[in-house]
Amino acid sequence: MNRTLTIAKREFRGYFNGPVAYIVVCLFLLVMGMFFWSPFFIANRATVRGMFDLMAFLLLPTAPALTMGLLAEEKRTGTIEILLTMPVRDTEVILGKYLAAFGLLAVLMLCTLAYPLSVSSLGHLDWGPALSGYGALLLEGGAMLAIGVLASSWTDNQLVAFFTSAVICFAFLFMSRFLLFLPPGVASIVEWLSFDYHFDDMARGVIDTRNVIYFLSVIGFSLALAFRSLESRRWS
Amino acid sequence: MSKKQQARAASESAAFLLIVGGILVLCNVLGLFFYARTDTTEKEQYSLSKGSLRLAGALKDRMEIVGYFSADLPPPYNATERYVRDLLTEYKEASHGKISVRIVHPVKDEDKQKAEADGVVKVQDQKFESDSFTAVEGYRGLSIKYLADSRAISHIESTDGLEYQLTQLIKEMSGEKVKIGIVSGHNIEPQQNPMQMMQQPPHGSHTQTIRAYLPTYDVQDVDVTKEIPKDLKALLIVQPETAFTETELRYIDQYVMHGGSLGVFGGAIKVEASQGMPSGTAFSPGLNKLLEKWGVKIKNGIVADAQCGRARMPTSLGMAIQVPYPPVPIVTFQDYQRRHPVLFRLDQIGLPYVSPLGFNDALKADKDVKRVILAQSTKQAWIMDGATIDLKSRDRWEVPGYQGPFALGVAIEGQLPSAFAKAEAPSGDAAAASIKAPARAEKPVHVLVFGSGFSMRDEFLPAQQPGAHEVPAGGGAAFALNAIDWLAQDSDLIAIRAKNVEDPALRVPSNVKEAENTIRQAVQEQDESKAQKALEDRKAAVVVWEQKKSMYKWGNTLLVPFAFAMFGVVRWRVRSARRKNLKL
Repeated sequence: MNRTLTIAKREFRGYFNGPVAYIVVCLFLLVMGMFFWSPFFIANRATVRGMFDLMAFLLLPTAPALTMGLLAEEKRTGTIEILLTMPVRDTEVILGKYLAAFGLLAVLMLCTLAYPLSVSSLGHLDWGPALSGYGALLLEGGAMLAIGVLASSWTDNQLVAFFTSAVICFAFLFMSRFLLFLPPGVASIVEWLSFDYHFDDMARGVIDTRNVIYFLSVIGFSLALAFRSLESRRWS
Repeated sequence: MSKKQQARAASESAAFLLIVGGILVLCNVLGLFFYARTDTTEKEQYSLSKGSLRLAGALKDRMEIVGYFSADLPPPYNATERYVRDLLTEYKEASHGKISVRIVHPVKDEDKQKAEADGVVKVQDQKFESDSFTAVEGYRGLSIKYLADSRAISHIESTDGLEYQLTQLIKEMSGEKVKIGIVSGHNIEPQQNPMQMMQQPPHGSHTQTIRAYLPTYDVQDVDVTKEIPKDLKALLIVQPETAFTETELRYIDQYVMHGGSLGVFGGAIKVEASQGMPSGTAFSPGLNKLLEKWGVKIKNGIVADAQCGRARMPTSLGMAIQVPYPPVPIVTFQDYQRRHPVLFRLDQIGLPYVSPLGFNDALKADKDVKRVILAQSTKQAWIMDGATIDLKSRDRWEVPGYQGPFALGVAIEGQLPSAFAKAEAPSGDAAAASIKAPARAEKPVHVLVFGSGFSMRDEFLPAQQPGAHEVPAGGGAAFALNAIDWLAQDSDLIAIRAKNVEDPALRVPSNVKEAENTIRQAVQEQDESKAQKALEDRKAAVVVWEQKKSMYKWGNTLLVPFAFAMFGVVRWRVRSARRKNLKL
């Protein structure tokens, strides 16, 4: 665990040593601010539900951007071989890098805390759904990051990693919008697999273990796949 | 690595993934059956309310609820089953095994026939198939069986209000209806032709709509010229238009002393509309003789408030426009008021043509009696009075000066003293003299006094749609039904009724409100210079408010990313400086 945390800390610092974290976070916050605050005073409601829907959508390019280089860049430059010759296990490398990206996601969420604080000073904000919404975003964002780590483990090209994870996340995020066009039996399964189905409940203030288990499963399975993908270079 | 070793490693890897995947799928499947959920909303909008839980827990016999859901329902109805399943599971858990739940997917003809025999109907929905929309038929309803009784929710159109619908059905099926009474004979009924009278006999006090909303109550018309049945849990007096005699008041007092609850809604004003032009007439029904002994009085006049509803006003061009209508004050509540069951989950109500209440010290020293003022006007309120009060909508209202706030509603509970036990009946009134009542109520009672009963009358309540069970969220209907539930001391349904409450609006700054009030006052006083100054003050206040909004908008949009970027620049400079000073 110590080695995992060491890798996580190194990667987390790495984000802030280069421009990636600043560009991603600043762009995210600018777009969020524009789209959230522009209609806010027209709607005239003391709620941040719209912010969560918007953030879930904005995570679609953000999560792949944060994870695209995690393994792909190391593969391209060959540093992955150096890293893996060190006394660390593959699982520790994957987990460490994932935790670093998750840490940056948490920083991003922290920066948006100014929004609910502002809303609560303008009206009576129900903090229960606001905090539950943050939980939902961390879980959904965590799942997207895990998919990003997986995509990054498949290739040594950052762009390919970005688009691959963006496409997979897009599918998970929007598959529930196409249910009408699916055969009814399949529609129910697809709906259950979609992020929206599990995210909406939490964003409105209901914390349900089924939704938590779902997101943790996506995270767990994606990381397990990434681990196997990394390990496969030993025998493929 | 040899090929054999490679193949072995690959198959081990695949097996590992299969095992991990299998475990995760198993966790999710088990999670469907064993789960926990917490509703974090302040008003617990997405949880079974205490009333539903209590009712399910109090069932004496087994109740069977069968959900009929076709497996191939198109969206959005394919998600209904999950919601219903969760909801029913909560009922089941609360019932300690008394409620059994079964979900049937009617595929076989016999299942379909069973669904229809249980009262669940086949509905037609649209789905997209083969590049076109086609109609599909399916079932999405509930059947509830308890003892020999069987009811159904024939089809679930929306999950909104489903809990209320279910709890109401369980309540209807599991117990005797609660009896309440509405005082008859003190209202002037609208004239009906004989044919209408035969089809729909008039009920007292224009309360047909509210009766339709009360399937769990047995609502009776009560003649108060004789002894009131003791089995009535509550007695309502709704906007009386004729005076009460001493005998009637004594019977009402006797009823309360025997443990019945009393709701008095209005009684100091009569409103008549002639050619769509309403006018009010002062009137005294004599109820104060009773109420004053309990420390409250309905005073004359109508409260008008700057915080008010809107009414349509015809213009010379023939069109009607919406204008502020002060005789319908919009009452908002303090937190302590909102906690009272009568105002449960209500943010505001409109009280049409409401008379102010006055209070005396009759029960001030009585520790057994609790009095809560439930509704007040704002400070920017005044009284409209006189023999006849012109209530037609207009764009200018004469304001004699703000005199608010006025108390508009009060809840009293406890063992009240009798208003007449020690009082002599008027000489010669043998009937009144013969009415005996205990000196104090035999048990704690609820008395609710509001200066208006119009919010309970048909003219101001939205008619219930045929087959609909939900009460419109917020507003007059929810208030009226909360009040009846509290009076009948039946709080099961109160908590569910007002669940669909919107997110609260943003606060308008007090200086904007104050400026608007000053303008109104200046206009009323016809003081042009004051009005001009007030307009400028308002303009300045609005500018400040708009600036504040812009500050929030741009501060959040630009300042946070700017601060983050600045942090990056500072960090970069520090790192650069450190690198320059690095000595090997």
